[in-house]
Amino acid sequence: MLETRPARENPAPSSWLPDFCNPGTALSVAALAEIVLLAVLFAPQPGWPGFSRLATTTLFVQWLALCALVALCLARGRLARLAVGMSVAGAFAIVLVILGAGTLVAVALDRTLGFGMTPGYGEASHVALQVMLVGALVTAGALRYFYVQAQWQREVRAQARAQVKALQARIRPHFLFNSMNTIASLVATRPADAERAVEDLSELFRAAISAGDELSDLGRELTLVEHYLAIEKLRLGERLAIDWQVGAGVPRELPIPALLLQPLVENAVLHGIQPIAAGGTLSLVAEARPDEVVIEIRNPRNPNPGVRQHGHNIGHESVRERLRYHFGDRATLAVESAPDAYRCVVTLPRG
Amino acid sequence: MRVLIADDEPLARERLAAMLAEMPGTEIVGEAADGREAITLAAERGADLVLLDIAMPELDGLEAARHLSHFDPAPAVIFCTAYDAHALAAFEASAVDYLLKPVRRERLVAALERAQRYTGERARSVSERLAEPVRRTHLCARLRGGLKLVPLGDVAYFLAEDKYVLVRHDGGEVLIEESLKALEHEFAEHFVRIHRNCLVAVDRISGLERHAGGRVFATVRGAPEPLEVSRRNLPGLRKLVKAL
Repeated sequence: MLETRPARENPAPSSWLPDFCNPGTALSVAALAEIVLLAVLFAPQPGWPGFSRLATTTLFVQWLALCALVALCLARGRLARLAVGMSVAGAFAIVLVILGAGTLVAVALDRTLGFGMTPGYGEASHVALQVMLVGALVTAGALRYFYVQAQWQREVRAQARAQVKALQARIRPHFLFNSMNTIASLVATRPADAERAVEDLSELFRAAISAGDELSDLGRELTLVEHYLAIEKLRLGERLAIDWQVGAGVPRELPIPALLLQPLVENAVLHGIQPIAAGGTLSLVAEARPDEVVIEIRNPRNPNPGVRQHGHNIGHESVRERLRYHFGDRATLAVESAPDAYRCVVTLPRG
Repeated sequence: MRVLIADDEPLARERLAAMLAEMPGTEIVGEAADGREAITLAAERGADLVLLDIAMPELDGLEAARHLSHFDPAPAVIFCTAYDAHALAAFEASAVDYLLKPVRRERLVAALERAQRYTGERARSVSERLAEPVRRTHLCARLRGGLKLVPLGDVAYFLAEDKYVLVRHDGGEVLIEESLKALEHEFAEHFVRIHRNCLVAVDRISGLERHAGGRVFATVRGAPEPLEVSRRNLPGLRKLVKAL
């Protein structure tokens, strides 16, 4: 029933709850439980509590933590649709009920089976109350932590989005006016080329204006680079040689951030080819490997050191940030700078 | 009017050439694809006007303009640029004119008229003012009617001789008509004064040695023999060499 609902445009107000079904979250909850346990054990009498006591209480506490995790994991969908206050209360209540019930079950099991793991703990209900009290404090702390962390993550994400927007809006005015100049020159003498240049330029601007932070795909991005290079080829003529090697196995449907490759190629033209009077060869090699796709962009470097060098890495940080935003650590941008060549390698995960 | 077109984009040159061809009284004496070629051709063919793109390889338009301003007579310069807010601000007050790409026919006509009214004398003073903030990356020496451009990175030292300055560089030596003081001021980041008559490239100094009689000499990579350091410049130089 729930699954058939259309996906919401906006995330629910309380989507700050972490995904409790995620192994990472489970591990941190387990670690938190263990830390609390150690604190409780060591607090009354300093000194080593004894291995067997540590082992039995660890078993007990981890059992409770696991129960709470499973319950929160199952309830997360419902909690996430509530308002923030309600979801806090809900999560809190679930944890307390689980802790109380879990304790009663554990103590009852222990005493019925006669393991003697909980001697001198008093009435089962007493134990449950104590556990719930400590649990309430820890849960309050943990929920606060999750909330703050979620806020922080949201901020980071918003920042990345803003940066994408800013980058996209920043079509270099030079490029626009130089392209217009090229077209103005072609109109009279080579109208067919002028027509194609207008088409290429339109594609580029359409992509730059409309792209949000949703993913594009590799095929579209490579086509965009081809449009861009077609214009630069008209502009720079013989000085720009292009070595384009996109293997047949390269998955064109691979999702990648919009306008990821074009700025890297633009950098290569602007800082690599254009400052060299004789020009050079820009190469783009895309290669599919079993679990990743590697795209290498290479350009020669200006051998004349006297000429003012402009920053090459303006776009790199932004590319890295967007890769991190979309793929975490699974995608990388490596930059290698040799005296006579410059190389950018983008590695993208497949699937 | 003898016009030289300098732009690294063939189609941009083609367009300007096509427009100029329709204008009576103008003659295109050459087309240059970079700043270096622009000043060489301007010297060889005696251009009255150079249409100068700003973003060019080898030597950019602003630096080329500065070298052109030392010609006698100096050609008028009109900058052509796609878009460059900073550069515009730098020469707005003093350039003969500047044109934005794509250049309009009427604007080009108007700029040519302004250039025509322009005398060589004014050209020189205006270009000098405009070129003030441009730090050169090359030095330009006149040799038997031709020009020699020396990249600053190739220069080992400058030595003042009478009214000339001798430039010792990796490819030999040339004379330029500039003052040592002005060179010291312009290239203060890379050159250091070691004597009343001598400026040395900082990163080429490999050491100091004391000779008989207490005179101190600096060994400089690319210099055929050590260069004398004056007593006055010695303490500062010692500190500099130590820091290297």
